[in-house]
Amino acid sequence: MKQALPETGMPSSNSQKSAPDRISALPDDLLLHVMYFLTMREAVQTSLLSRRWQNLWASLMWLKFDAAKFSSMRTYRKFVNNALMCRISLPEPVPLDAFWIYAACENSDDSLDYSDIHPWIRHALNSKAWALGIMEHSGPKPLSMEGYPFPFTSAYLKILGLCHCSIDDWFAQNLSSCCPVLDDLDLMSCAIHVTMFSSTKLKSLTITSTRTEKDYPSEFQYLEIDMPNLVSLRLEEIP
Amino acid sequence: MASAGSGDEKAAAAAMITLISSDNEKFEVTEATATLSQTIRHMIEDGCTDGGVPLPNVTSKILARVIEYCKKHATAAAGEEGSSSSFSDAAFLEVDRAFLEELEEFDDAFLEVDRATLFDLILAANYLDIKGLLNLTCQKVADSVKGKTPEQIREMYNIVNDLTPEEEAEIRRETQWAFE
Repeated sequence: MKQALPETGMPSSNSQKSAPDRISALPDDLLLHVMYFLTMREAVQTSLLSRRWQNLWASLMWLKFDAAKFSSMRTYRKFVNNALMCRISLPEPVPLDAFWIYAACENSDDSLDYSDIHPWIRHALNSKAWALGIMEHSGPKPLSMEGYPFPFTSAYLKILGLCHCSIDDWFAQNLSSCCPVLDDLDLMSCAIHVTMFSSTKLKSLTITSTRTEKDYPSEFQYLEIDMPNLVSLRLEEIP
Repeated sequence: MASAGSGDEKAAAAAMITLISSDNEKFEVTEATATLSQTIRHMIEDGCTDGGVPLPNVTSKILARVIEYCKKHATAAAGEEGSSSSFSDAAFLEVDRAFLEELEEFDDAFLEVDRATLFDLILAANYLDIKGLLNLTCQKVADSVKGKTPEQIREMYNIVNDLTPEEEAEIRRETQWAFE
């Protein structure tokens, strides 16, 4: 009897089938921790694995949308819009920690306008994100918020990064009055037309510009920075 | 002679912590190694580590691996603090770089484990609140599914597809935008 058992072949095929599914057994927060290391597209695709995984990605609290691997700006725009739509339709709203936009795409001549990005920023800040950034943007003109209400009003926003945006006195004034806890501002390749930049809260200000940027900050030489609590000021590659 | 010896032992013992695995094995580690775990750090701060720290969720096999990780990374943390004052010293930077490379090699070798162990390490890192180890192990799982189709991922991790064909088709339709 005992000797006959291994001959049947049944136990081994059974044991392979019943190998435990360790990954799906992880609690939600650990599965989301794994997903944090995936691209957003890979994270959304896990919805197809099983019921356990369906829409789990939508509870990610750290969102990074990178256009680099998309076939065009159009598909990227559609992707972000749809992903945020899924978040909005969750039965319970999930807050955000951080929201990052990388809107530079090699495969496309098309570029994002500020009108595309504005609703994304509002969704992130309505979701109480404390870090937000437009970290890359390629396009013929800097992003201009003209005609829109000041988008960065938030009681939670601590870290803000902006790339290739038009920065004017209106922006600077609103920033100091509408972002009460903002302490870190990073302006990358922005067109800065500001004469007075004041804030009592800001601890770190970084302004980086590239020499190849044709819309370089023309009035930059007159900029006055009045930030008594500043700990770190970095100005790099200013023409 | 005997009293001097016991005094030394006492001083050394003060900085040592005893960790007790679920299968009752005892591990003596330095406080610097143990406090890479925020969970243990808080226990030390609350003064409740006398007589050892019982870890009912961690087996001796996994705890030994976790301690191996913490030992290596505690040395790294101490090295960073020590060299920060000589930041501009090129020789020190060179040493730092070499050490970071060594640490990366250690991490890579550390992750050469079977899948069951990897998941046990994730759960232990989470329970002990060791951020570096949790990131390392979760990243390893994420890397293993990158570029794979849902079918391949299911097979790899024995995930049973409990979606009906109709449900699966519907999810595919609803997430079409993620496959473009």
